[in-house]
Amino acid sequence: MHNYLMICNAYPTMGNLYANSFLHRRVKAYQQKGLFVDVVVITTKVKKDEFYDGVHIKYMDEYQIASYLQEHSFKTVLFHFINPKMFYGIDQLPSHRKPNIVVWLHGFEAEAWHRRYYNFLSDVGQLDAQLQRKEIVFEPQREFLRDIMTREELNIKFVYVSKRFKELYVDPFVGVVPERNYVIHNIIDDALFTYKKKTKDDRLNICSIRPYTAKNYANDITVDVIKKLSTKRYFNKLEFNLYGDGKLFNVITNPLKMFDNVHLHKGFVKQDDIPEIHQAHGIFLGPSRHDSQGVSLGEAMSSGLVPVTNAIGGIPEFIEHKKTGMLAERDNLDDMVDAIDYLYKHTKEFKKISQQAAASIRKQAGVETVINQEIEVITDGWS
Amino acid sequence: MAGVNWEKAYHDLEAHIEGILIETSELVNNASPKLRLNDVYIEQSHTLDIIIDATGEQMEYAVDLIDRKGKIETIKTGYQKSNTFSFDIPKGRYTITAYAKESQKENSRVFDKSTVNFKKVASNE
Repeated sequence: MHNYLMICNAYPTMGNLYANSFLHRRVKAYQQKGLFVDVVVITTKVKKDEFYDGVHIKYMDEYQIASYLQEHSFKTVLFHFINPKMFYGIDQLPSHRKPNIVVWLHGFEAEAWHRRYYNFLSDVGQLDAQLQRKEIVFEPQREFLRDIMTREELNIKFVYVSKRFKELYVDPFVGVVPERNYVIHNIIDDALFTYKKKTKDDRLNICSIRPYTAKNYANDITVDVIKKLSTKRYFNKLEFNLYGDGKLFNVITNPLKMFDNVHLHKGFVKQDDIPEIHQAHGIFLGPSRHDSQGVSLGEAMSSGLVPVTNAIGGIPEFIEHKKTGMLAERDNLDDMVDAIDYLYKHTKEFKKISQQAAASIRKQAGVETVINQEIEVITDGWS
Repeated sequence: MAGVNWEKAYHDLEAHIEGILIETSELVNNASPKLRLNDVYIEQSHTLDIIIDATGEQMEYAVDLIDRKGKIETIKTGYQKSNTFSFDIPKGRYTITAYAKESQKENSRVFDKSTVNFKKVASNE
């Protein structure tokens, strides 16, 4: 009997190292704890199996998954970014053969159509497309989630990446709360993002590592903050490094080209290269309009950077203002400038917050913490 | 089963409303006008002059002119930037189809059909 099967929408391979790399980190951590997981990626493309870093990955459509589940018995099936097609195979099994199920809810698969309004209000065409998606994508997904959250025959648990994500995004979208629900954060890899004690001079080095693919990443705020800081007398003492890639990079960062102390690094930053960037900076400028957790902020905190971000979505669950980072109100430029001003003028506080941020995020979402919680949910307490 | 905390969810959503309306305001203010044919002016002198009044972005105009009795071949001007057309044609009854379209958008076209009994007015010169 096979024990555990993970069904997801993407998994890293040699050809695509960064597709849901956080899932691979989980699977490897499970392996280290003696829990071996088969991986199936749902796809309509015909693809050969892949082997990546000791993990066998199979590619199947919903009908192949159904056959696979008929032919093999799994004790527990783990879903990430679930949708009705992924679940089709489970529905085809007779009640007595249905496995235990754990569903992780991460973000877009469990939130309302209007949540990221700033991403589709820049032109009418995008708005119309989103209104169509409301009917053909979001409504069926909502009904599906409501169904599996309330169906009594299923032995099913739900994992949310933060409490605020659950309460503010998922619960009001689905309209029901499943009986067995758990808040377990995404892993912040404290072995990769090792803590380095910051000096007072580190606060002068400010970095940002963000995708430039949509407005929810709020890079426009980063630019406006830097422009506003340029009126400060100490501006030239600061050094900014902005890393990222995406269709909006050039458009958004163009106004910053006039500043000698702002360095633009266009391109995808590999996970393994991030710790080195973290080592060279003291402040992580990461405004946001939408985050279920804020993993990149957490990674920066783990390295000892002080995050400057917004009190939106799941972020306040991980960052306490002036204790483990600096929080601005939604879209509030002045708050954010004040936050950097505060860190510039209060060197002792800067160092204290840096230390507290690293300790706090480790305790909350370090590898050991998260994996132990997940393994408990996966293996224990099934009826 | 614990319930949804609707009050908390509402307050969070309310915090978005200003943002949604600001974005919507920008969208409306920056929106291009909807393609619309307002009027077709027909003036008769020694030529038949047609002016197409339409609203839209980067407009192009065209006219089809059909002689109701078939004495002359149908004239199709093809699209041009100018909204003014002048035809030196014999007197008679014509059907005018005036078109306007936006050059950057495929399948964007509005048109208006009318008839005219063209009486050629002799030039003073």
